[in-house]
Amino acid sequence: MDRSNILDDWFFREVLPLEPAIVEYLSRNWGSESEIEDLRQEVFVKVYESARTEIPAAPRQFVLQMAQNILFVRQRRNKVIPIGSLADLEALEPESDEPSPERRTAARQEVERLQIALDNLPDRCREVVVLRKVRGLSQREVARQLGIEESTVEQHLAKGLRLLAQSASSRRGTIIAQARRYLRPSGSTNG
Amino acid sequence: MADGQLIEQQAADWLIKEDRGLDFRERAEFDRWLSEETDNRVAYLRLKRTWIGAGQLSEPKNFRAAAPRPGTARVLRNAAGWAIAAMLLVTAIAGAWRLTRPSITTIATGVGEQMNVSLERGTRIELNTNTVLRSQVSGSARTITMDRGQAFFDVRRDKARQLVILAAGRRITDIGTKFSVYRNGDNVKVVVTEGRVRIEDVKNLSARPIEAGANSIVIANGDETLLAKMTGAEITKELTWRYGLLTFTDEPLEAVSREFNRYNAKKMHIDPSARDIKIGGSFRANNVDGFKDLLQQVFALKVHESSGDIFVSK
Repeated sequence: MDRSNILDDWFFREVLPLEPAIVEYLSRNWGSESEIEDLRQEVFVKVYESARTEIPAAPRQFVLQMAQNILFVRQRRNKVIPIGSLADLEALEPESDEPSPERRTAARQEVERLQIALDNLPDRCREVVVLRKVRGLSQREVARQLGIEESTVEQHLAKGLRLLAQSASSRRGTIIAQARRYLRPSGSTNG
Repeated sequence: MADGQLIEQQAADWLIKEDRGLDFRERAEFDRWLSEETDNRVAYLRLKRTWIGAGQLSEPKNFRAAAPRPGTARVLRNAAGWAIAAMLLVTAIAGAWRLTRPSITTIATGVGEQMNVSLERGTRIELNTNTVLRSQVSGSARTITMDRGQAFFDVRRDKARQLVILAAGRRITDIGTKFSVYRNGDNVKVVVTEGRVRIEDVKNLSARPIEAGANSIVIANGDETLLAKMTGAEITKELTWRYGLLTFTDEPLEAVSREFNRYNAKKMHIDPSARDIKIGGSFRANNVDGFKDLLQQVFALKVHESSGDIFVSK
């Protein structure tokens, strides 16, 4: 229990903020864009599992190394030729793992990305997320204020949350376009 | 891919349920889901980070939500309650009308209800469960009489009209501040979070008033008044009811049950054999059934329900 809390905490603080870097690395080195999300999840899972035995001292390096290994394995299995060289780990600015101005900048960028994603949520979804997370109403209060069922509020929040999380995978500059594309109405989205 | 989407959807659903509050059965199910697969845990943690991050965002430009209602009730309210809340706002706004008729307005919440009320010039009142306030405006002052219950006052300073609260023989005057008042019979507890308030004994107005600043608690009963300085953490704990939570640090079960009983129609009765068991933690005020399960499962107490109430013994 304690052990898994420490691990969760470490993962939360050190690994999750690297999502943009991971996605950038994967996109640069893997041709099939539809597999990126899946690969990113695989990186997270493998990193979490190996941290069970020992928490790595340099998370950034460790995580990108893991991404590289995963691509190697998949490459061999699929017998495909990658679009970039898998050895270009160095090409990613070697950011240190020390708390630094870069880190603060990254944190600010994370919030900026989220803000843009929030601004671009579908109307009703955005309304519900803003009332709950920005204005701080409870789910019940949101339902009451909008005159909708609490279960509908839950659905909007779950959907909004996934769309916001998606923003970490968007690269600067293309982020709005990506959000729009993601938000394009499709059969599976409701409301 | 499809798998990943499914897991992410499940993670989102769990997180939103967690935000709404899980009962014990759901909690167990959620814990099982989390530890089943690393995939699940990782997806959950990722969304959790986003969820927490979203708390730092600001409203989108041109954001228009449905107009907030003046008396946004947190828990079920009946139509009469709404009418009262609306009326208070009307009397607050209709100044001219007030000159010709004295305006006394009652605002009340039932057991398990909470309500926010906005007054003129940005002053807000949050009523806790089972509370009755009577508000009267006369030229230079708004006097609120607290017949029972608990309320948090966020007062904008207004030189033209002072806010005065009367509770069990105490007069509490704001000096531009945030504080809560809890009246339980003749007992009055004032918790000040910001600014200063003045507290006087109505029967003895010539005595020197007590002035309480931020992070202090005043407890008054009859002729006695006690002023205590508290830490920020202790003050926060006193006010978790504003978020629908009850927070205890090693308090006897007897006292804990009294707190739950303020919020729930289903009352807890504690047998003398179990009264002194110490309880700590945060609980949803309206989740008395969850708390009951906890007593049974964690403290191995005997719990049975009869005629709608809960009886607990060792």
